[in-house]
Amino acid sequence: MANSGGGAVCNGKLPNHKKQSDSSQNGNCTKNGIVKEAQQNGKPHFYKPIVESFEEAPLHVMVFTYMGYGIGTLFGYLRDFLRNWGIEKCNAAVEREEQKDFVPLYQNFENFYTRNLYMRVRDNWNRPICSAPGPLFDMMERVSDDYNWTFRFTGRIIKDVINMGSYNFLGLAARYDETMKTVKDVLEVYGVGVASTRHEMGTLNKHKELEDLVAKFLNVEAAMVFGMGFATNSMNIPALVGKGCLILSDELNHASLVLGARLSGATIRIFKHNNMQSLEKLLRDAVIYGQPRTHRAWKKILILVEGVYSMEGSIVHLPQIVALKKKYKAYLYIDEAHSIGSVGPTGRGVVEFFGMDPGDVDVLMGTFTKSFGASGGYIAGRKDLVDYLRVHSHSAAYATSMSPPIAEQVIRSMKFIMGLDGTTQGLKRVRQLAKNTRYFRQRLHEMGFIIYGNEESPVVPLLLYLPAKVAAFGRHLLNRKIGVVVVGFPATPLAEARARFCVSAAHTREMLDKVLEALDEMGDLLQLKYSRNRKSARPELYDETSFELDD
Amino acid sequence: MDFRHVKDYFSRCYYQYQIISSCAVMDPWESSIFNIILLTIFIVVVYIAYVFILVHIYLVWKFFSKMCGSHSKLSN
Repeated sequence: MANSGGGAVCNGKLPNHKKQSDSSQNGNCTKNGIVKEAQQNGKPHFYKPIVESFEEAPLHVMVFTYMGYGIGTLFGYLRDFLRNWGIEKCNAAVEREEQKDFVPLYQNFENFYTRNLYMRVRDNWNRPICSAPGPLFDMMERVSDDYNWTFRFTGRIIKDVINMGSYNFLGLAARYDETMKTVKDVLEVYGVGVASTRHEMGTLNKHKELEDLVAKFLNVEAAMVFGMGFATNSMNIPALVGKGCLILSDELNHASLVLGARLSGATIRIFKHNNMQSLEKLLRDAVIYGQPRTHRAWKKILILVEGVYSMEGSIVHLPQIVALKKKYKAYLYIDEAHSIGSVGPTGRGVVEFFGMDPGDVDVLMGTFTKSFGASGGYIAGRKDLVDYLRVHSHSAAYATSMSPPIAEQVIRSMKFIMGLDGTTQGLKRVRQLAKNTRYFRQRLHEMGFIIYGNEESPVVPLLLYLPAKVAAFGRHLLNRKIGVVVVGFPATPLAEARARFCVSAAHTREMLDKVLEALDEMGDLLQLKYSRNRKSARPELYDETSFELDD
Repeated sequence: MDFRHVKDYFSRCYYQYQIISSCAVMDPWESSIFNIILLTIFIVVVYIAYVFILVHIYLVWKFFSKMCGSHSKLSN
């Protein structure tokens, strides 16, 4: 893992000429309450203190985790043996009789893991829901008679499950109400299907309106929208870099960025997660040594990072990266999928969160899925960059463009957030999200759970570690009508399974309190409170008339 | 009343053991096999410790009693 010793990184100061970073090596996170002021080009700039923590678990927990996986593996071998010898019926995929002498298809680790470990707990995933993914939703009840090999629906619906898993940061993914009237009008005029690509007949005036609005929202020169967020990354990175270029990508980047980087044909080098020393070392080596055999200079160096990392909850150290990029003359591509609309004082993303100039970042990419309640993605930046992408992007040439009602939903949401619809509701929601995030994280921290990430990111991973606890956590919380997303091995490292909460502005204080109470009980039942800094600095207040303060 | 407290405590302990050893996510017959194997190992270890340690304590006691006996014989 990239966390340097699992300690907290509290680095708020960015001096101009010397590169300095200090990371405390103990497992606690200390808050740097002083905002440092640095002079840069004559104008004062406040750099925000970064408070994040990636605490390490106690040793016995790691031992038990590996032990749990070991026992699961042993029993997996036993079950495979029984299935092979016909003592037990095999429900998994097997080769046909004629293929038995060929190269085996299902013997690699991935299939072994799926058959023997994932199948036992897979009732926690792929649960169908049957309402809008608002703060409360309805889930179809599902049971399994043969230990998760097959499922059947009982026909009942579990109503009003609290939604802690959907990426609904501002609460805009809701059922139809009167504010969405413009979407209905657009649906009546334009229909749903576009039936063409951007280059052919698929560019609508709705797209132009949306692109202008996105550019205004982000305070950049121009923007272009695409129909699918994943495809925005994977189809546009190949258009920007090619062979002879270097991509420096963060360790924990999303699959779309990795796929785009691989498709481009450029050389890819990975730096440790959010670690500026590692990035600087790679940049120096790239500039000094050039391309591998010929030692020519790289045509382009592109740094790929994300605004908020969805599995860690960490926010990118943007001021340091921009300083590095300017020093070594590289380009910066930020994927703001989770951070647009959810961080920053007015919801404009990580650039606003750190108070920086959007012109410093070369390519701003984001999606409309998370905070805007629609689907699709955008790329924004300077006008010549966006004009180049309009001509050369694979998505513009081959993929169908964004559907008009969805474009109108994004337009409506963006105007709502910016306040262009005449109310301050949008700003209130952004502030409510920040308040909810702070409250939720602070309460979880006080209870003693290990939470990863920056204290202002709305994505809250709660570490579970043991495989059996992952399953028990998901099931128990569903019994209490709280829907959470638990994540295990392939998406996270083997020993760091977690539950990921996405706080939303639509969650009321009562909902959050209900969830926190349930988590408290779960923590005691399953022994999840591993954190070593349990007590907060403030004394607890009691409701009785007389109480004693500890001196 | 006390029995319920004790029973509650033991059932929570057993649940903890099931979670840590992944018995909670296994089929019941796998869980039984695991429990039987673990109990067997535990009983064998306890038996060996019992026999082993008893023999050693006996030998140590005999040694010290012989020393004390020779000491008292000398002092007499």
